[in-house]
Amino acid sequence: MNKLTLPAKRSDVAERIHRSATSDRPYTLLLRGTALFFGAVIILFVWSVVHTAWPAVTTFGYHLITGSAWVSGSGPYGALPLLTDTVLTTAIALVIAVPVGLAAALTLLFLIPRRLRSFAASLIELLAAVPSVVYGLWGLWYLTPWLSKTVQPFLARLTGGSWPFNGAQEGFSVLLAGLVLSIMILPTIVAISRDVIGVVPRELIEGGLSLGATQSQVLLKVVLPAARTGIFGAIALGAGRALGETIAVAMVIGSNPQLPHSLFSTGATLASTIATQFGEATGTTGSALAALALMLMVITASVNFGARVLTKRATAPL
Amino acid sequence: MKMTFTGKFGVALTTLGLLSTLAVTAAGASATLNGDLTFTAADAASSINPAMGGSSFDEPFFNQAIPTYMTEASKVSGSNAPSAMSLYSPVGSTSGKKGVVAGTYAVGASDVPLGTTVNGTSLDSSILTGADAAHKLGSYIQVPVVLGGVGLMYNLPSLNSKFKKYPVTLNSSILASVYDGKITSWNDKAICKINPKIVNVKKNKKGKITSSKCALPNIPVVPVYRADGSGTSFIFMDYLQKTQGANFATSSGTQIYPSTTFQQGQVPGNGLGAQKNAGVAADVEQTVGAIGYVEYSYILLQHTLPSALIVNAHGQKVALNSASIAADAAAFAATPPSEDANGVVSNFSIVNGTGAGDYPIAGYSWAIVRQDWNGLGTVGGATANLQSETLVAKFLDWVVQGGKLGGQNVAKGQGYVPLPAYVVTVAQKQIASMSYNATKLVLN
Repeated sequence: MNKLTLPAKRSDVAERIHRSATSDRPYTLLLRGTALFFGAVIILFVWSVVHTAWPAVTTFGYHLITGSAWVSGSGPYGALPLLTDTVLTTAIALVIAVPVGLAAALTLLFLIPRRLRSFAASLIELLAAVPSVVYGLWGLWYLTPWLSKTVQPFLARLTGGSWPFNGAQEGFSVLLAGLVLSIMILPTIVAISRDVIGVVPRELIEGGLSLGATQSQVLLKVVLPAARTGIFGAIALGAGRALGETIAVAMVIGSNPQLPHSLFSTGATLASTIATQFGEATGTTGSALAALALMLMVITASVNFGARVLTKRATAPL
Repeated sequence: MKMTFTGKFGVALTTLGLLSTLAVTAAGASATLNGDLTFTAADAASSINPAMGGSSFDEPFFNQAIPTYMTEASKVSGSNAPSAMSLYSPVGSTSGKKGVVAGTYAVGASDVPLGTTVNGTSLDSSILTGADAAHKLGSYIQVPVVLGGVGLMYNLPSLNSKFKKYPVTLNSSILASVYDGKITSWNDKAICKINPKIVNVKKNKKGKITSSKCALPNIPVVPVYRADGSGTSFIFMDYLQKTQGANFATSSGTQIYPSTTFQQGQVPGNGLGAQKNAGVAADVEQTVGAIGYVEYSYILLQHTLPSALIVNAHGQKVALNSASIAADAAAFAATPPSEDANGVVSNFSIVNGTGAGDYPIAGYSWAIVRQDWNGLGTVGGATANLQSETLVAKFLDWVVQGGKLGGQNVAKGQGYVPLPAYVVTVAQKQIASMSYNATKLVLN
């Protein structure tokens, strides 16, 4: 009856598990059922998004991706500006968060007194516990005026107003969205890179030091390269979060779906557009928004999948 | 001892309640209906709590009116009065309409009546799709509940101290050009020309004026618009189309998305999209040089920025206030809004009125309710029965009442304008047509 196959020569423990399997039947069924249920939920979920998006996909085809104008209500529905802004804001977030995050991870592991480590780490992890709408409000109330009055004029003066620091200085911009995102993804990058750097073999570090390398040489040339696969994974997980972040971005990016002409230009990402427009959308607009959701799902799923593979490889015991 | 006190207090309250009912009767325009705040033990037993939601234009009103109604009702009916009506969800006009059609809201509020057609296209063709009663426009009554104005809020701190007395004046052609991206700077010739008071004057020793220069700052105009579909956008666009038709004649599309109308989808590159009235107000507050359109109550209650004077059809420069909005509504008394047998509401637009002192950007917001709840199962989360439908009818009936204790008094406190008498009549006629299982509801 039981389909659980075991090696011919059973150990005592395996024998006992096998014997108790019959009485455990309801339990195993429950476990399998739960797993299957959530599998089914995901499949139904994807199906419903595809189903809603389908009319738009068949009507507009590839123009949904390549079209450069997004106009709710009447169309056209071209997601190119949204895709560009999504990638751009994520890129800005990574440019800021990756160096800071790696530095923080190295500091937490090697550079501060042991008794301060867990406290400092929990402070950074606390950033992950802040709800994204709070980041949005903070961005709207405090960073917008700071950017428009201080940062943007400074950057424009520094570069003589040349690209990419040209255009209206309104605060609301892809730059601000990237800045807010960088803080939001920082805990992800710090936590995971700390884990993967933590498993770098001690011998490597000691070897480096015994060869006369300085501390910074060891950290930059031994530790980081040894952990690079895992670090890429951490970056990819951070990127996954940035790509899909919705409400904080919607509050600071200016919700103006256009191809960015500079870092100061307002924009709209896939996620922020869905959030701002879905409630009031009907008919074709609703379907086109579902198509955006589909694109976002494909992008974040592949980034997360890649990240998972990389981190798994990195933290696996040698 | 305690019992006696409660008893006396109760009697006093009931007397007060009766008086208030009388007061409402006196103030109401129609004798057939007036504020009904009486609830019986049977009403209390049937646990009625229908949800309402829709236009964010109405949020400050409903969220004040609902608790006030419960308080007023409890003065009359004591513990039988509804005590747990849920607050209004400001999800947006279209969501309000979708909600009432789907039955998730008992009252869906929208700044644009359900079934409105713009340039030959129905705004709600994708909501009213089925053949059943829920998807037939004629199954709903539409009740004007509040009258509000749309203000043009701007953020020009450099004018604050010196020109506090002179709010910036704008007209429809400037507004059209700003939202079209044709006017890009605040010291544009057209804006300077109609703001002759906002000038820096230089005088010589004899006090003679040697030069006067436009004092509007040379900074970019940042138009803030609604990124979501919006009834407030509809009113604003309606105004621009009625006044600047040639520039704003759109062949297709819906007016609830301003971007559809602005240069065929190209809103100015520096324009900011925001969500809901509160979002537009917040964006304007954060951005020097920004201008955005928001409902009057948002300007009045929550924010400190000024709103522009608008040049009306008579050429008067009119400030946004209760009197000027009322003047606009009064100008349309000869053509009251009406709902025909098919449920289509006509004459609801009151932009660009011709009255004296008329603030030209105003509109009503509408409560949309199923006319007969029999057989609906649940409506807005409440069991669809005679009690729940009657509660909604009583509430709306109270909402449209003027006078000291009516809902319109609450509206007044929240930056709206009490409905003019001719519109109250229209509203009461609508409410009176509600029925349960084809029997007219009984409202005292």
